[in-house]
Order: sequence, then C-alpha cells, then structure tokens
Amino acid sequence: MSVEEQHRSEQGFEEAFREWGRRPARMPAHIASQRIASKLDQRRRKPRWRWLAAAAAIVFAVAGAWLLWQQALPDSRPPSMEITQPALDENVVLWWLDSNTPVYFVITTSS
Amino acid sequence: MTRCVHEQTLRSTLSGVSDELVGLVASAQEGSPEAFRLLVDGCWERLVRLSRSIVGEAEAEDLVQEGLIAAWRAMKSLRNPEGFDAWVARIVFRRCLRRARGFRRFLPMDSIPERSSLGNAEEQLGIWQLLSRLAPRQRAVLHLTIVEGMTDSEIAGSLGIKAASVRAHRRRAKDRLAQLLDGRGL
Repeated sequence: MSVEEQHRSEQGFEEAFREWGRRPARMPAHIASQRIASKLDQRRRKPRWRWLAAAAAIVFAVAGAWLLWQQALPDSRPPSMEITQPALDENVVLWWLDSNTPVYFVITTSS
Repeated sequence: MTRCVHEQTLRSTLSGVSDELVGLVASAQEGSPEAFRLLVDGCWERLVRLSRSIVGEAEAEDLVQEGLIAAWRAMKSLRNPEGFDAWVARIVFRRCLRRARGFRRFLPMDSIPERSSLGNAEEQLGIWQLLSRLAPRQRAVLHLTIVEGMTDSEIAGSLGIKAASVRAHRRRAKDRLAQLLDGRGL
C-alpha cells in the first residue's frame, strides 16, 4: 500500500470511527438516569437493613455463646458458699470431696 | 465589538453551566439522588460512547451504570466539583479496563477474520473489530481524540494518565491501525 493509500485509509477509518462512536446510546439518558437513581435508593436502604440484621445476629450469637459457656463451666465457687460450714472444733478436719460432700475427720487421742 | 459581546455571552453561559454543575455536585455529595440523576443525565451519552469504544456495544451501558453507582458511593471523595466529568470518566474507564482485560483472554478465534479476505480493510472488518485489536488504553485515547475531539491534557485528566502517555498510546494505536488497515497485523 502506498503512503497516499495508507493516508486515505487512515482518514477513512477516522471518519467511520467518528460516525460509529457518535451513535446515541441504546438507552436514552433520561431513562438511564431514572434507572440509576432508583438503584441508588435501593442501595442506600439495603446496607442499612443488612447492618441491622448483622448486628442482631452478632448480639444473639454472643448472648447464646455466653449462656452456653456459663452452663458448661465447672462450678468454681468455694464449697463454703453451697453449704453453711459449721463451726468446727479444734480436733475436727474438714475435707470437701466435691461441692456437696463434706468429710469430717475427728482426731481423738488414744488416752 | 460583536465578537466581544459573543465572548462575554459565551463566558457567562459557561460560568452558568459550571455553577449549576457545582451546585448539583454539592447536592449529590449531601446525598440527593435527584441531583445525581441530573448529573447522570448530563454525562450518560458521553460515558456510553467512551465505554463502547473500549468494551464494545454489548456491555458498554451496563458498565457505565455500574460505574455511576460506584461514583455515587464515592461522591464525598470528589474534592473539586468542577472536575466531576473527568472524575466520573476515570471511574468508568477503570471499570472498562478491568472488563476488557478480562475478556481479552477469551477472544474467540473465529472473530479474527482471515488475512486473505482483506480488501478495503476498514469496510470489511468493521470499526469494532479493528478497535478490538488495540490495547484498551489505546482505544480510549483514540476515542477521546477522534470522536470527542479532546486535547491531550483533557484526555490525560479523563483517563488519569500523563499527557506524555496519551501521546505514546495514540502513536502506538495509529501504528497498529496502519498495520491492520494494510492487512499485515492480523
């Protein structure tokens, strides 16, 4: 292809490209803008509901986990809080086998 | 004298347009969907034209819609309201780039015409088939130069690149087009 032909070809392309590129959009601007504006409303509302739902789910999950954890926890309270400890004599030793089972050892002298 | 009056009218008209744009951008930044709708009205056609030259007819309008919704969410980050047009064009351009990179890998072989069939290339291939042989940035630069008639600095602002890059992209695009039109580049 000669330089002149090349130049003509490029000019032809530019003209065709200009014509092709300037075609109007398939969707008119006023319809597109309305459609986009309606999506903006949805998008503003959706996250708000989503955030509320997510926050509520987190609160329930944390509360549930805390309750389960409390139930599963071994009783760490001191036995004295479960059963009133009687006043012991000096020769009595008290052992707690568990929170409900006291064992008293009474030390006596053989004489 | 007449020219002076004409220039004054033009300046006041442009300044009015600019004031209106600034007002709409400010309202949109405060959360007014109606103001944003009017902004979309003003830029829709231009953005679709740009998008169409980068990704083709089928996806252009969807991408512009996505880009405009992204722009709405990012409105507060726009510092210079007068630069709204270039700012929103950059958002759409970046989306188009991502999409164009995505489907470049899957370009079907039968969409590439055989070299022997080339006669008057621009007629036989069609504009889009020629454009699709260029890099997406080259398509965008060529579009803004030829279709929109923008200057290098305006193109640089709209695409978020340097003016020197604009010139480089345009030169490469024209070289590649010359090859394609000559039937050597396929």
